[in-house]
Amino acid sequence: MLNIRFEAELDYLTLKAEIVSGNEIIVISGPSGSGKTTLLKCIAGLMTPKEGFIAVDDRVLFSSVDSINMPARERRVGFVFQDFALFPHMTVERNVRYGISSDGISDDVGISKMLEAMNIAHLRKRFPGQLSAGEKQRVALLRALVAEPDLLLLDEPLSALDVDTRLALQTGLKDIQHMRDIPFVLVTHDFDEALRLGDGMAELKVEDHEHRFAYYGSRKHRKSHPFRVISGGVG
Amino acid sequence: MSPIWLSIRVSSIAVAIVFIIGACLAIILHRVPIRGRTLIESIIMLPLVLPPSVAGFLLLLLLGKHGPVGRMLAHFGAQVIFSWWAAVIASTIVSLPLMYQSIKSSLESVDSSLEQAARTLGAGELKILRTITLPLAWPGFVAGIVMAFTRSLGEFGATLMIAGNIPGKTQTIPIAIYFTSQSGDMLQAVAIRVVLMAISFSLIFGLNMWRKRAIRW
Repeated sequence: MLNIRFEAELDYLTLKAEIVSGNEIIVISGPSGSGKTTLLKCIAGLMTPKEGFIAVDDRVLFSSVDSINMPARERRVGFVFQDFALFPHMTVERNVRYGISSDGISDDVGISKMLEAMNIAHLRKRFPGQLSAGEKQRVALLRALVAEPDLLLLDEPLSALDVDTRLALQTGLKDIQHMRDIPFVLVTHDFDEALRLGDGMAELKVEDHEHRFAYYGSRKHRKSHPFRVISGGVG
Repeated sequence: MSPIWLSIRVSSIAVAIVFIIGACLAIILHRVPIRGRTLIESIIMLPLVLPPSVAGFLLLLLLGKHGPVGRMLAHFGAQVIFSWWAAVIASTIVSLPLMYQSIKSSLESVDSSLEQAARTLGAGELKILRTITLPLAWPGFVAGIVMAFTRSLGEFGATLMIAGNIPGKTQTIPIAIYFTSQSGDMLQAVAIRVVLMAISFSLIFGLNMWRKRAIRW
């Protein structure tokens, strides 16, 4: 369950975001420079909004009224970066294990199973520099998931991939979201991708120097209207 | 002690000191938003652009018999000026900018999205420094050590001002070269010069070769 409502000042525009949603894939789409990445960074705690409120389930991550600004490391918000941000000096396995907390999954069997499920078990001793873009993407995704986040943010996760890999991973992402049952907020500038992946898409309104992303969904609503924002026979 | 051994000893100690000071300064100024950071950096970098003799003169004012630090040391019966420790201090001051600059650029070259990724994975700042920043920036630390060492080996102006030319005590390689040339002992001057060039060249060459091989990922 997501409850996000904030305002952030960028150099060239004011960014407003309002997202209320259940555990679904919410797509943020818009032209480059519209503040999509900033929106994700504010949710993850890598940037601080001017004012507002961010909560995942019952945990308040940010509240300007109550002066709450939880540091990124405590938010349990996973982030898959556009360039994947894999640690270049660590093997795939060490990358994946990086976010394991002391009380999280730490047994080798669990990790091995997850590496296999993502089809990257054979790469565990390799370094990121020796991987293809599609493999890097899967490692980055698994690394974020192993830390057991309550919310996963994905910044243009498929943009670096060729068409075939892209289609395969689109399906993969939907399956993973289904299994984990946590909300995914996904940024893309590709409209087709937004249609294929999203359970719903945030609407972007541009007024002068103000960009406003808004999305109001709920699990109940989603079941009866799988693609609510987009009309037409996509799905 | 021969000028060669003395130089190596002075430079080694100076580099050890410069490494600790330079690394601490670079890491703190890189990670902690401090007001007046530009001012502090400018002071650190000053010895790079000042003639070493000016740096030596300032040190003389500070450490000399009537200087504030000199008087304090005299109180404990110690004298730094014209001892080999003075040569260490001179080398430390002139090589600090090289060490600082090298470490600073290597820290800045670490992609900040890697540190951000680590934060979202639950890592605290110390863990990030230990597991991400330092392992990726360490070639810059090694380069800083080599450059500071070679700079210390070649230090002349400031050393002469505060350590003087006392054979066996403060006569380092560059000072020996100068005074043997002055006294017309060309053969010895050339011999020491060759040694200095050989040490400096092998260090820089070794560094460049090593850098090519060390980074495997």
